[in-house]
Amino acid sequence: MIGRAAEKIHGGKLVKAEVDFAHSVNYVKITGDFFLHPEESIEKIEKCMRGMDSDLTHEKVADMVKRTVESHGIILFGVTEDAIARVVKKAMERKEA
Amino acid sequence: MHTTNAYMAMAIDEAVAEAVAAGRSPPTMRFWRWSPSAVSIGYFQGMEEEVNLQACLASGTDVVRRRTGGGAVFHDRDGEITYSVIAPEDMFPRGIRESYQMICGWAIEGLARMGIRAEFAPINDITVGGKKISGNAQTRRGGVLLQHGTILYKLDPQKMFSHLKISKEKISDKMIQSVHERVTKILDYNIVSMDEAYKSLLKGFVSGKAYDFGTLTTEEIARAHELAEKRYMSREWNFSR
Repeated sequence: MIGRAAEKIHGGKLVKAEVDFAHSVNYVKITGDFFLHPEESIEKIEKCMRGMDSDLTHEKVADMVKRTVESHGIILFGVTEDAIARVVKKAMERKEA
Repeated sequence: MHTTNAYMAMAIDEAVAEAVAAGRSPPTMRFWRWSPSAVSIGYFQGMEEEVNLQACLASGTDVVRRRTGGGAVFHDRDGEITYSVIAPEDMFPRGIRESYQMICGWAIEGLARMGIRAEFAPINDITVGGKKISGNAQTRRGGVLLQHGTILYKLDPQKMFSHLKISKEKISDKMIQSVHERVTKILDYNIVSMDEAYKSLLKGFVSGKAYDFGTLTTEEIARAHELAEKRYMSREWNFSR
């Protein structure tokens, strides 16, 4: 199943998530007009959520993202770990097929 | 101020950043116009989600993904002045917001020289009376900060919307009216030529700094051609998200 969600976060930036999942997550794609340095590390954030249980709580998802951000020295600007987790969870509530 | 296509514009920024990182080029500012007009999207955006590719193809508009984040922008060849600042990170405040504020401050000083009272609008915009006149995007890599930004000179909302992916229904008179309420440009305040506007902006950017006028080095140009061809013109890069 694929679910999609989007959220305009504080500061006006848009964060979108596309999540392919069943009992666990197959892939996550995060898009939007936020900033994150170095840019290619978005893939590390996306990968950290692969394989996670799809019923994991928002707090646990945010925790996983935070650990990835900290361990790779990723700098977020105009987006937060919490917002990424929230939009990923929302995407899984809006499955399309 | 020179003109360049979208692929070389992005490639020159990266080539200069590499040369600055290697200590082979000095801190650099450049000003340019996009020719042909182009749509650039932020690193994290989806090309097909954001850009009306058919309209771009029909009008000969380039499409390119930036290496910086931020949003999709229609760069009208005759409608904006674009700048890049490429310099070692340690010349700027550590905080990203503060470094945006510093560089945007130079643009604000340039606008002030045209009698336009602009202010920094976090996180990455410059506004006049609450209306956006400039959008900016920054990245840091290899100890080098790159910030590029656009300053609107004139605006054709119909043309802008037709190249971005916004439904036809939304490109209504009401929406165009709403753009005029949210966005402004140099010509709203001062009838200057684009060259005069550039000269005022340049003064704002170099004020209080030691500087020389120069051209790109042979190495930067060669590397930019390579990056344009291998990365910025490639489908793999532009459609990677």
